Amino acid sequence: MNLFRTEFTRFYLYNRRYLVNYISGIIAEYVYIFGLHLAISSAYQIPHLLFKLMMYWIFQSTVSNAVYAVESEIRTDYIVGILNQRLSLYHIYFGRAVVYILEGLVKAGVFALAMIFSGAARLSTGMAASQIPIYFAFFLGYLFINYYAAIALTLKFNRSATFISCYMMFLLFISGMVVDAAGVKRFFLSGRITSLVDGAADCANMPVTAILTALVGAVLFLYLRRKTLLLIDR
Amino acid sequence: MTRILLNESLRQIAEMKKYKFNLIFANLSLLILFYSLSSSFGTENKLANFFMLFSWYFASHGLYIPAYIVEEELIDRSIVNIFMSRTSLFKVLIFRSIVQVITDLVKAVPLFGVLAILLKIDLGLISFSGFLGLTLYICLSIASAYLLGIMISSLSMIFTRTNEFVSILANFTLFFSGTLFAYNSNIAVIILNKIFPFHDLRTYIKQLVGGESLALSASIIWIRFIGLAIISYFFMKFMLSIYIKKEYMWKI
Repeated sequence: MNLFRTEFTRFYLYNRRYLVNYISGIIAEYVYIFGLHLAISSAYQIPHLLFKLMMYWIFQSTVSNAVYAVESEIRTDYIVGILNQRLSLYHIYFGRAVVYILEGLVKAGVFALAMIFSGAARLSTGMAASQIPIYFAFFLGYLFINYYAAIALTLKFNRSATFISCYMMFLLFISGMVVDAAGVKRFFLSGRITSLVDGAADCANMPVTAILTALVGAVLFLYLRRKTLLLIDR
Repeated sequence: MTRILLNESLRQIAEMKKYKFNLIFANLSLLILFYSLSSSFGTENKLANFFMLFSWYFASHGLYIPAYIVEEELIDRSIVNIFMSRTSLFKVLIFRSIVQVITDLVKAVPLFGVLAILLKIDLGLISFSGFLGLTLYICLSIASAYLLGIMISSLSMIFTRTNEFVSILANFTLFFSGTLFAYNSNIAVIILNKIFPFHDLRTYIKQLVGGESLALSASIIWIRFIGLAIISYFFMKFMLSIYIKKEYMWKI
């Protein structure tokens, strides 16, 4: 509990210091997401677009916030302090993930409410009530796999923000998380997980997806653990 | 003068090699964005979108770069050197902008070459003379964007940080000023589109492909360019006088 309180205080103090910049950044994000919604809805026929876009936004802002944080810590050498703490880097970044996810939820929630009340779009899903927890479990699992992978990538290569933003474009338009521009979404975990939103059609695939998600997570976890241990030794 | 410009551009291009991975991934993400957003449109719209995205690629840098340059100069206090030299700040910004356009051209050619192949762009819809005219008006629109950027950059003499504000404008121009589709359902957006050069460029391309009269949209683009050149020059002069008079130099 202490960890979360510390992270919330850090988030609050940091953004209060750069309040104008923070607010302008949020406005820029709102303009971007609203524009994406308009562009995608005029170019493609996607059911439950608003919900998918909101989930993508939470995903994207959580991962890229972490990458920016790690990058700036590497640049200022604070990372040495974090790596030598009693709590491991992954514990500390778990606390941050909670803060980032909550921030994303608030941002996306405000946006969705504005869209619904202005009549621009409807928030809908094709999921039955029993499927909603399954979807969120998969979504969070996939989010955390990507989150820790992005952090480890940044630790390894020092700069990875452009790669991550390219990956996010891939997730948005090609992997089927929102748009399936190339028709290949069944090959990607994110596409399979998002197909849950459209209804029960792909539910038979879910055990396979669960096993795949767990497998990818486990392999990544073992690999990254070794890498970061090496990094601390260095 | 041309030699200085060329040398500076070559230096910048050599510097780009250091960040080649960043460059590849940044261009790749733009490629995915552009391809996905325009692949589902019809042939004529695809052509218009292709040229609009091409000008947006340059123009978004036009909004960013002058503000970025002025901010760096302010933080390093090297702006004092420019005041003491015989060249005005406006002229320095114009030269650096030309260098930026040349380096952008090197980056844009592979990106838009691949995009044209992926989208199966049919350039045969435009005649050769029409193509020359289009190039001129694209250049004018890009120059207008740079002039707007210079105007915003003079604001940073008083507010110090303006880059987030510029990123709002860049996102806005991508989605709401006719780069991808004409969005005309809000009065504020319509008024803002009178300032940005994209909406009229799209009209121009549509009329060019449709074989209609081009005089009106072409003259609007010219008038905007000349107007922005005059306004941004005097606006920068005005801001500089405030900056010096109120001694903002010591308040970074």
